[in-house]
This record gives sequence, structure tokens and C-alpha cells, in this order.
Amino acid sequence: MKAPKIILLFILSALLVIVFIVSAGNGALEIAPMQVISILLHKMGFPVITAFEPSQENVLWAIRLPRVLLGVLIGAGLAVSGASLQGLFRNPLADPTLIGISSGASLCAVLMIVIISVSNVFGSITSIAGYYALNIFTFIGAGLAALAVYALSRNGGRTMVTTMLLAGIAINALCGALTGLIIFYSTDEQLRNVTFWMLGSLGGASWNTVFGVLPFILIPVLLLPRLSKSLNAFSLGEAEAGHLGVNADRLKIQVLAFSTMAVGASVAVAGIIGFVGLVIPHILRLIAGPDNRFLLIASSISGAILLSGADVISRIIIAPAELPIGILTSIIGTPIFMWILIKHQPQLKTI
Amino acid sequence: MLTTENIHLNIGRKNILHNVSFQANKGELLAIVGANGAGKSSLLKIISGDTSASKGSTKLNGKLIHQYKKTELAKIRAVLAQSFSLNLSFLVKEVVMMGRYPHFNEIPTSQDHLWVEKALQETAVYHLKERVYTNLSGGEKQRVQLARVLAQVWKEEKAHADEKAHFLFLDEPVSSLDLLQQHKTLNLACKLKRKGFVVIAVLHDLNLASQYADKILMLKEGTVIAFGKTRDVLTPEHILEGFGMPVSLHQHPEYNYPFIIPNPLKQVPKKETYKTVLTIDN
Repeated sequence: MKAPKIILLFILSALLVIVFIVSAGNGALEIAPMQVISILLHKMGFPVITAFEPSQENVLWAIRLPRVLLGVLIGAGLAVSGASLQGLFRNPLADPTLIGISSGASLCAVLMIVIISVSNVFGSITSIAGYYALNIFTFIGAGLAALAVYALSRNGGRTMVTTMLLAGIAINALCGALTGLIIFYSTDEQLRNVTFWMLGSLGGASWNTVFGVLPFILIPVLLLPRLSKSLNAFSLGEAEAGHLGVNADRLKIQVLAFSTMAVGASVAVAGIIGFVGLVIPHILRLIAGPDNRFLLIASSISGAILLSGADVISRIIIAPAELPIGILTSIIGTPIFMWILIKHQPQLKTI
Repeated sequence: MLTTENIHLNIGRKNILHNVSFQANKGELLAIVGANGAGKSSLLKIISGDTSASKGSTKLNGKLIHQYKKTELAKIRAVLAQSFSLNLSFLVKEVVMMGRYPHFNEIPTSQDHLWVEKALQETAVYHLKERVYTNLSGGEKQRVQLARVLAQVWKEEKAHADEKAHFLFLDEPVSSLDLLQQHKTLNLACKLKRKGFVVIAVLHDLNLASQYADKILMLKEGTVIAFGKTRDVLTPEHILEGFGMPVSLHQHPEYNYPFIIPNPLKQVPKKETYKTVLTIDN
């Protein structure tokens, strides 16, 4: 990686730290940035730099920190999955929400919530075990949706973009219908749980949620960048990647597994948050080119910045109420999506 | 050295290749010729390891192709495909660097950068190296891809007699190039064969094959109708059989290879024409 790209990574990392501290300090109970740092240092056993109230410490530790961490994790997971899927589909429009992966996960989450309230096998859904079960279930849903879209949109080693988007529409419609069906047959209590979950925000964050999704997002975030050289070769074409020594079949399975794992986990705890996986990689490609060795790492960091930043805005914009974060990302994402569509119009047929 | 023995390829019930055997030695340029649908590209896919034959064997340097690891094969064998589907805005130099991917893990060495520069120069696209690949013309893209393929297997010195050969497979390498670039590309292929490469190219233009190839493999409907030295294969009889086209051969005193001139008005035996028309329709 060239020097400018490394500098850019440092700038992004610094930005993430700033957004993290600001986000953690912002809310009904103000905690100044230096106090946030002091509390964190204090928790790690370092001497206190700036004085803070015990109530500030409690709020930060029990409420703010899990929420910010969850935003960081989900943002990083969604963005790196989007970037990797775009590498796999060899197309910049492959976003987990657009091609139905998120709604596949969502359908499974709803199903799971209803099953839990019927059988109570996994105990409460807010326990870590409950989150693990939910994550695995959404992973399956996301994976099936991804496999279906991938199989449908491939034709002789090429991704047919129109087919990919149409397959996404079909899967979104099917999952929507099935979700509706489940809701139709659910009891009042199940309905309440499902609706609560579908609102989808970072509001319900707790340490249980954070640890519930941690492995499912950390693994993809750490392992997907290791595939970036192969993904670069893959952009030449499947056969060409093979000629360069890439095991294309293994690469496909790895990318699909890791990215659906991250998308599934994020849907499980925060509902469908659209366009993060589309917007972030797209902007980064404009700045620094499509080299996946830079793109995947930078996407993780930038996704984390975007989502924790958007979370601050969603908390203050209509305070004391809270705007669901998915609405905010969609408002940012839709114009960018349209822009990509217009820009790629001439080559949309077969790329 | 590349050896294939009795290659058969069936896709479904369709027999694509039937009993194809040939051999190409270090320092030879072998051209595969034949009418559309004769199985040229399928054969190239088999010898480059993309698909496995239904029957028969392919050996590179005496070792069966499927016994090579993918990464091992990538260091000695490069393939230039017929069409390219790269649609991300990589820079030309980044695309050519992809050819070096099998040789380094994370960070390219100075040697890798050197090969990239060299390949860019050899294919006359050095001036394009900072340009975005997707903005290039069809011919420029093809030359950039050729540069990538060169960077993958290029080696400097003339090979020693006992050294293992490198392989370059080209599927219609000159299809979208202008006259000058067609000849530059094939001259480059000749340069590589003199370095001890085995170069195998699918060619449509029989005159180019006549000029550059050492050996020719002529296919018709998946079977070999002629294999051997260029002069022995490119005869009016073989060409009529393989392409259904009457031609005449002309030798110019200043050139040491014959020119093939198609002669569509020449009368051919009726039965023969009928059969050919059917073949082309298939």
C-alpha cells in the first residue's frame, strides 16, 4: 500500500476515535470528551486526569459505551461486507439490503422471535445465549438469500447486474410477504416483540448485545481483508483469477460466509440498516481507487465512523425522541445509490 | 514441453473434442486453427487447467496438469483470454501488477515492480500506466491484459537446455488490434518462445499463422485433421477440409512463408460444399 493510503487510514482511525468519544459523551447527561477519556482510563486502572461524577461513570459504562461500541461494530461489519460482496459480484451495486441479504436475515429473526416466545427454548432473547441463537438464525437467513441471488445472477462466469437487482427485489418481496404472514399469525405478545425488534435502532444496546454480536462481526472484519488480494484478482474474471492461482470456489464460499455472518449479526441486534455497505465503499473507491487491500480495511473504519456518527445525529436531531438510525442512513444512501445508477447506466446490462 | 494425449471432452451428450493429441516443445509457437465451433477455445481451457477433459491427459513439463497446485501453476503458466470483464476503475499499472500476484504475498518487491515496467514497455502501453483501465479503448485494454500476462511469467535470460519451460496460452490475442499491433503482439510471442517459452495461440487469420507459427494444429468439429510443421498443415487440401473454403497458396520470393489467398468462386465438388454448409450452420 502506498504512503497516501496509509496516511488516509491513520486519518480515518483518528476520526473514529474522535467520533467515538463525542458519541459516548453526548446525551441527556453530558460528559465532556476529557471526562470520557478519564473514565475509560480510570476503568483500566490509570490515574484520573479530569474530575467526573460517579453518575457520569455509571451512565457511560452501562448505557453509552455499549451503544457506541455496538454502532462501531455494526457499521464496520456492514461496510466491510458490502465492499467484499461488491468484489465477489464484481459490481459496485451489490449492497446487502438491495440484494435481499438483510431481509433474509430479518425474516429469520422474526421467525426466531416468534418461536422463542412459543417454546422458550433459548430462554430470554436478551441473554447472550439468546443473541447467539438469534445470530446463527439470521446468519442462515442471510446466507440462503445471498446464495439465491448469487446463483440467479451468475451467467457463464459473469454477474448480470439487472438479474442481480431483480433477484434482490424478488427476495425482498418474498421475505416481506413471509414476515407479514408470520406477523398475521402471531399472538399479541409476539407481535409486540416483533414490532419492537423491527423498529431497529441501537437503542436497545447493552453489554449483552455487544458480546452477543462481537464474534460474528469481529471474525469477518478481521478475516475479510485477508482475501483482498484474491478479490482484486477476481475482478479480472473468475477464470483469470484461477490463472493467477486463486481458488475461486473457496474464495466465493469464504466471502459469502463472512459477509453474511456480519450482516446477519447486525440485523439480529439492530434491524435493517440500509446503504452503509453501499455508500462507504463507493466513496472510498472515488477517493482511493478500487484496490481491495485498502478498500476493505478503510471500509471497516469508515463504516464504524458513519454509524456511530449517524447515531449521535439520530439522538440529537429530534431530542428527546430518537430517530431510528435506519431512516438516517437511507436518507444519506438513496441519493448516492441513484448517482451510482446514473453513472453506470451505459454498462448496466452485463457488467 | 506440453503434451496432450487422447483428449476427449463431452458436455452433456455433445462431443466437443475427440481424441486430440499433440505436443509443443520449448521454443515453439503452436497455432490452433479451425472454423468457428471447432473446439479451439475448449482445448485451450483444458490445457490451461480451467476445465478437466472427460478423458485423456495434459502434461506440462512431464507433470500432469491437475497435479500442480494452483499457485505453482500460476508461476509458470499465463493465459490471455478472449474477452475481459474487468469493470472496476483500477489503474493500468495496478492491473499489470495483478500478474505478479502469484509471486508475492502482501507487498510487491522491487523485482515485481521491475517486471511490471518491463511488461508495460514490451506491449507499448507504458504511457498509459497511470490511466484508468476502464477508460481505455478495446485494443488498449487487450494490450494491457497482454502486459499483465507477460508480467506473470516473464523471465529475462534465455532458458538453459535443462530448465523447465514456461507456458503462454493466447486465445485470439490479436482479435481487436490494428494491423501494427497484431504484428507487434505476435513478434512479442516469438520473442518469448526464443526465451524458452511454449507459446500456444488460437489464431483466426491463417496468414498470421503461416507467418509466425512453427507448428499448427488444425481442428474440425473437435477432431484433429492436421498437426505438424506449419508448411505441412497449411495446404489447400487441409484448409478446404477444415474451413470449407477453397484457397490458393502463393510464395513470394522475398518471404519464406506462403500467403494464403481465399478463392470463394473456385468450384468445389458439390458433395463437399453441401457438407460444409451444414457444418457452418451447426
